[in-house]
Amino acid sequence: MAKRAETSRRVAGILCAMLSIQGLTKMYGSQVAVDRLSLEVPAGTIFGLLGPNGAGKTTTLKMVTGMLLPTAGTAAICGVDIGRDPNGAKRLLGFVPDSGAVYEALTGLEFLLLIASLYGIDEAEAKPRIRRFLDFFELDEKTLNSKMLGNYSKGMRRKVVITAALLHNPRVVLLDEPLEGLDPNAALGFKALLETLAKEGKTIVYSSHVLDVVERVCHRVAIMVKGKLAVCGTPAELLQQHGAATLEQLFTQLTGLSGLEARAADFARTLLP
Amino acid sequence: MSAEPGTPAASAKRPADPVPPASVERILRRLFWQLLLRGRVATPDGKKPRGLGLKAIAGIYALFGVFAAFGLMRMGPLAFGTSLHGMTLLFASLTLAAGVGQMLFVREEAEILLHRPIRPEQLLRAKLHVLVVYALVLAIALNLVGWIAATFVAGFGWRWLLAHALTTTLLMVGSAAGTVVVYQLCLRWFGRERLDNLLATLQAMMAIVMAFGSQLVPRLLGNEEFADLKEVHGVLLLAPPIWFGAVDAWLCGALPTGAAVVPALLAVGLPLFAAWLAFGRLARSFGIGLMTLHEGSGVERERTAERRLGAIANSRLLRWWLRDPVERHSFVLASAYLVRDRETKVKVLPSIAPLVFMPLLLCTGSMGRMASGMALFAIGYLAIVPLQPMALLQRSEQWRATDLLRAAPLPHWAPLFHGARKAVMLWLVMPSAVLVVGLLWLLTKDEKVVRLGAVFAATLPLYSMVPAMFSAWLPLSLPNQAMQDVSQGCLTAMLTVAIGGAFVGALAVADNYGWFVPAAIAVLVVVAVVQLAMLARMRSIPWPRAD
Repeated sequence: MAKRAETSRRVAGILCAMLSIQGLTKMYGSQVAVDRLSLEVPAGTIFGLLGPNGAGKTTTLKMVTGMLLPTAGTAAICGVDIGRDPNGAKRLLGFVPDSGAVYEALTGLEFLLLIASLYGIDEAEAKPRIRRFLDFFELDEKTLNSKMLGNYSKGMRRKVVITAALLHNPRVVLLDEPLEGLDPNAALGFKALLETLAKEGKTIVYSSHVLDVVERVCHRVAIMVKGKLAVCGTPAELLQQHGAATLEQLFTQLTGLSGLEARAADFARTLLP
Repeated sequence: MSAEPGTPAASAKRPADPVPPASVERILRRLFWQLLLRGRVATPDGKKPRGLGLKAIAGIYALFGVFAAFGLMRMGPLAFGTSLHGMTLLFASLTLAAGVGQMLFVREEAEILLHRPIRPEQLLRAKLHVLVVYALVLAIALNLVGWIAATFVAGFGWRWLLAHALTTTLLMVGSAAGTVVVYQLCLRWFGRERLDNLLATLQAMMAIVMAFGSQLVPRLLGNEEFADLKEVHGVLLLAPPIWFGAVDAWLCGALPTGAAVVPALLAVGLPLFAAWLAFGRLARSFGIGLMTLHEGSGVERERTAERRLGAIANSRLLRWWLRDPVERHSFVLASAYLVRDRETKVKVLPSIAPLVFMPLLLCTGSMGRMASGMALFAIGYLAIVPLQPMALLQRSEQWRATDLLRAAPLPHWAPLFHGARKAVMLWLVMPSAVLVVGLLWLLTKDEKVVRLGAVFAATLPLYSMVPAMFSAWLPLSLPNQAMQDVSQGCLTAMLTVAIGGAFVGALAVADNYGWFVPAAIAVLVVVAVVQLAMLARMRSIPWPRAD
């Protein structure tokens, strides 16, 4: 009976959007951080979430992952509402936070084994999985076994955090500035990995400021401005609709910044003795 | 198209199964034990960070228990049990009160664990389990010699041993649960805006309440009457240690059942009720609390605090006191952490609260010349107050930001030290001195206390310079778990108190002979000369090497 319910839930998850956000709102006192955001992201999509600083991208991701309580609205992962069944939804998602927070006093291996165990993956099963990630990211096994995470370089730590997000094979992966600190080779490899994961049917939400990467990698893009969804569509559609040559141009057009080069030149002049 | 074999995409075909709740709690308990014993931050040298270790800490507690136990051996079962519980409440519970605030609400932890399939109740239970067991180990260490001595030397018997084990467990469970209940209720009642400030104040208040609670009975009765204590009545029931001591005495036949009913009900009922509230009824709000903290601080309140701090630092008097701009900005940095940063506040406030209030407590039960002596001790003891906050202000989770200070073209680190030192003096040491002297005057009604206190307060900057005598001192430059040289720390503290005591003693003797003013001038001149020597010593210590 329980197995049948689980099967029907999985089928429902495939048929409906993998990530569904309806009227999601977050207010801090009178300040609106996210304003009635609604989105549907289907399976196999890499979805880019863009916006200037303070647009509400990270707040949105934190509400979707159950880290923040929304003021209003709902978010569901494969049909599982994060508010009603937080653990059910959390089991289906992986999250790379922009802070890259880890327990610094644990070794990389200790940390990854801890995370694996929280998803019910025992050590015997987790170790080969971790080793595959190690090979992929070219992480040194000795370092992972012996060195505390607090002493890792920023890039190495980011690789561990990404591994911790993907280790349990989530259906929806939420990435907040995932490439920060990664060297170009690792970043290229990671982008290729994202494309492969999307082809496997996983949903990837990619929040970043690096517009050219988003333009190249994402199938669909949403731009948030002051907590609201400004535009949403494929990069080609959006460029055509707004008569922009690049996503960067569209971004500056929508976020109200213009004459950047002239402003930079003016500012640089003020720095001269 | 499917993933190539051997790639991470292909590595995990099977979706994760739900983990049984018991397993999740076991996993989390193991994690929090590791973090408690190892610390939360890696050391700069890259070696495995190690705290003092549970065995070493338990050893220190056991050693202290030896002195305490033999000092109490002339007592009957009720007084002895009460004393041991008072001591346990004071030391082990203070550890708990400090640990709970730092362990329950770790802001960064939300980014690591809140998006994982863990229920907030499981997180809370795992943390509390670790804290209670940790406090219980310390309590057992502290009571060990007392247990053995009471059972085998004083002849209280096996029943007393078992009863005391049971009541010590109840006391620790009650302390942990009670502390958590207070936090949970504050979360419910005060919300995010005031939570950060509240946690630190709350912890300091709990430290003070526990210190007073542990000493209340002997202070109320006086030492002789307390040693012969044979019944529990009236106002004595206000002190928690006597509830547990009464159960010990009743179970070994030293207290009649009728006299033990009320304290026994309190000793068993309150801890269990607090545990039910903490682990059951209020546990769900723990998740909300974590989310609340994760939301960050209230923008408006921070702006107000920022303006206020800026206004104080720019006031005419402080601009003169902090003439060096580097010193002024170091003062603002240190003040910001002391006033705004929850992590710093929860360390600093509870650590100085007992230093300030314990000597006062000694005065409350003393009379006549004894009271005057204790008042002098309390004033001299103020010398130690700058040391602890200075040591704590040197440590921070943001220690890596000190690279900015090291990279700046500053000829010497001393202005950075003086700015932070002056912040500690202004926000913590001077208010503590005013509070202690004011309370001592209220307790003794002796004007001499005010005279001595005022002169001694003028010498306090001397002691605040001690931390920079051994090596370069930069604010917030060490990770929290950076080891301190314990023996050097103890020796410094003892010497500081001895010097402070000598100054107070000299002033008191001079006052008795009517030479107070010349003696005060002499003390201030000596202090000024020593300060000049200390500044010269500081100048000879070069910039610290960046690790």
